[in-house]
Amino acid sequence: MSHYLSSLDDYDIIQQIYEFGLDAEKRRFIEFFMATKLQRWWREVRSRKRRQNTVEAARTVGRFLATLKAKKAMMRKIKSTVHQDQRRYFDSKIVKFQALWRGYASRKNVFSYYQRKSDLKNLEIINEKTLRNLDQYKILLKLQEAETAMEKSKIKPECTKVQKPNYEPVNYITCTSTKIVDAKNLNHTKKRCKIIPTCMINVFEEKEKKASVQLKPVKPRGRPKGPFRSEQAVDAQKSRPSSPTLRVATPFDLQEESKRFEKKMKRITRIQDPMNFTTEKTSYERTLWGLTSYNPRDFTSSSLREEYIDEMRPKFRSQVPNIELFDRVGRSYDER
Amino acid sequence: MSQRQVLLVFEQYQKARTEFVQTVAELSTRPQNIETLQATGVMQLLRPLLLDVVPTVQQTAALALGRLANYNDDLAEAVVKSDILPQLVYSLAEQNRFYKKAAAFVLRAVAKHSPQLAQTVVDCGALDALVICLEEFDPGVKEAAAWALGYIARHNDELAQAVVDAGAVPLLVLCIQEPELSLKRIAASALSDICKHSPELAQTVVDAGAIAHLAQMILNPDSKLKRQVLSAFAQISKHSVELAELVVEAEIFPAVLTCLKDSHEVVIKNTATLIREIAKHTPELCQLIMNAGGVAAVVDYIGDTKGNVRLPGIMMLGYVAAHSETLAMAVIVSKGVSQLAIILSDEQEDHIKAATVWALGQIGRHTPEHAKAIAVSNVLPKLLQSYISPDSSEDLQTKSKKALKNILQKCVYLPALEPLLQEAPPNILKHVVAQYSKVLPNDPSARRMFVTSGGLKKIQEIRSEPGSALQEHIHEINKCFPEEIVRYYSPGYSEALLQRVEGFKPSTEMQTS
Repeated sequence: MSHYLSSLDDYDIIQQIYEFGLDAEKRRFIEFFMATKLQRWWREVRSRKRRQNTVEAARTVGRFLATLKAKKAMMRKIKSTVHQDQRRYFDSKIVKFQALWRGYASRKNVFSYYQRKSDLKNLEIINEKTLRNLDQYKILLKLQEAETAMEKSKIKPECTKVQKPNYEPVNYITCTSTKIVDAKNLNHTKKRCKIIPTCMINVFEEKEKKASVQLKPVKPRGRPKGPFRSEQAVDAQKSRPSSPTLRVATPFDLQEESKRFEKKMKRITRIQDPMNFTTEKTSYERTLWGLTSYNPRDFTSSSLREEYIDEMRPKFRSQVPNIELFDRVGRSYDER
Repeated sequence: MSQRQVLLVFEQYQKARTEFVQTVAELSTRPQNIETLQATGVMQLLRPLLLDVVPTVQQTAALALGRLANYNDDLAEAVVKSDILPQLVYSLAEQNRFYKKAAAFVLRAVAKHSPQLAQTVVDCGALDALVICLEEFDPGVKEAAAWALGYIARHNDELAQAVVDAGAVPLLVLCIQEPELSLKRIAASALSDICKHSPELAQTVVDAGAIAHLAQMILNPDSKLKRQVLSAFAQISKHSVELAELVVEAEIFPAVLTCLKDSHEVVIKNTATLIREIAKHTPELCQLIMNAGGVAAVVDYIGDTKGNVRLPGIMMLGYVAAHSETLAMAVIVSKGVSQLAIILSDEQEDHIKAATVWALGQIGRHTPEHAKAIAVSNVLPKLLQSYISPDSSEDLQTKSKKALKNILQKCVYLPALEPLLQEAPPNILKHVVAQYSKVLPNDPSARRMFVTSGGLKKIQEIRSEPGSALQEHIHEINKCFPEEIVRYYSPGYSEALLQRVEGFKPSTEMQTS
């Protein structure tokens, strides 16, 4: 430095100072640069180390976690393998149970197999019982037939051939009396004889012989005392054709039923034709079962109730449905 | 001449008339005399005697006329042409009970021959008179009137309707309740003849309350009455489900099953007919019969009887099995199949065989189990025999074919199908082969059995048209076996082998050594 101050001018001094300053700046820069570099280096080293430490820590942690994960996965795998084997084992058993159950449920609910099976078993029992009862019934029938055959064989008549009944009654033609024989009365004589087939006559004789109890002889009864109707009147009554009785099968509640029917028809006509119903004047008609009438009475009649006077008794309207048979035979309910 | 002598002449005349008419009545009981009587003009002689003053002569003349008319329809027509019927109808209302009986007998004898003669009787106004006779006090008159009405109603539904319109049904129902057995029989028979034509007529009889009274008589010991009652029930129930249910509601089951053990064949047959007519309607009615033990009773009865008597029972089993597989199984469980198999081998009549075949077809057509039950009883060869036999009627052949087809389509019991492979015609064979083609792919033991029993050989011998269903089934069966075995059993394989032997040239090395 002194070297420079002695030999120079002021410009040279300033120039030298400036150059010294530049050199010092350079050096400062270089020092700064070097310092920063060194700091950088040091920071780098420190951070690298730190980084390395963290990386190692992370690696360690990662290794640990991976190990843990792997272990867990392995355990899971082992467990799943075991479970799978177990499941396969149990599945194989459970499938059988399910198959058995499904088969049972479908047989029971869809095909009614068990119901049918029990029904068929019951049917076998019923059939056996029925056949047994029928066999017993057949044996009973045979016993009854044998009994009847034995009874018939005991009363066997001597005549084996069955003779045809003799249509000609005994005493057919009336005795030739002095009376005029009426053709109508030819069949109805005093001495009426029964028409007995000749093959049965022996039977009656045998029966009488075999009677163990000796009956007392019956005293002939004398002719009963009268008064009697004439024979002609009796014969006329016997040969008169019987008039048909009104035995027609009707239900016991015919009256109530016909009343209900009548009410129903009235209701229907009322609904269907209300105007006519309100304007129609219906007079009261006495029905079959009503005996009392409330019509004006003749003051000259001896009784207060008109039903005792046949002539004044009005015809009644029958509530019971007509029976055609009556029309044919000319009968009606209002005949007394 | 004294009065006595005059009377004597008249007495002799009356005696002669009576003797004549009685002898004619006696002679007309024997068939060999009828033609002679007809030739001598007996109708013209008897006609005026119907108006005789003596009631006995009238009655006996009517009886003789009835016997003559009863013999054949020519005499009945002669009675009609002689204008006797109006006189008889008039007399039915006027005369005594003996004459009424005889007159009703004549009307019955005329009406029984043909619908035209019955219509003639109706046109004479006989129905009203007969219905009035049903109200008579004398049971003999009622019986004769009911008999005549029954014979009129028997022919067709118009005549039966005429009888119903005359108001006979309620009176017939009353007649059933009478104590006389013969009257009950005749009334039941008349009701049966009315019911058989149409459901409306049957409903009329039911509405008159006949069912309850008829049901009480099922257990009557008289066989003739029972047969008429059972016939009436059968005719009522055959028309519709409602009528059949009404009959069943009278609680005839299980009492009616005892009639299957009756000593008379007609009673047994009518009982089986009744059960058949009830069973054919619905499965519920069949179930009811089954629960009463009816199926077992019917199976037992068809085993005990022979001929036409067992035909309704066979049909009843077929109807029951046709409704559902459960009922068909019930028939199998009741040993119906084995009994039907016995009938098929024992019976000679084609119509009974046809019914048996039909019943077996109805039993076996439902499921493989049912078909197996049929097959195990060795029925299939018998069905085949019925089908291919030239002596079988057309109906039997048709029914056998249908039954075979229905059973084979469900049968997977292979041992029963083997005999059919050998003998069946092509239209049956295709069904047999089809069943083999279903079973063999899934059953190794069956395949072995098929080969050892010669079935595979038989299959190869079958000629089938290309593209037909039979060929497809044969192809399916052949795929179940190795090719060598199929080739081995092919026809002509031995010859082909021998030809190969003949054409074979041994190698030269062997020759030099």
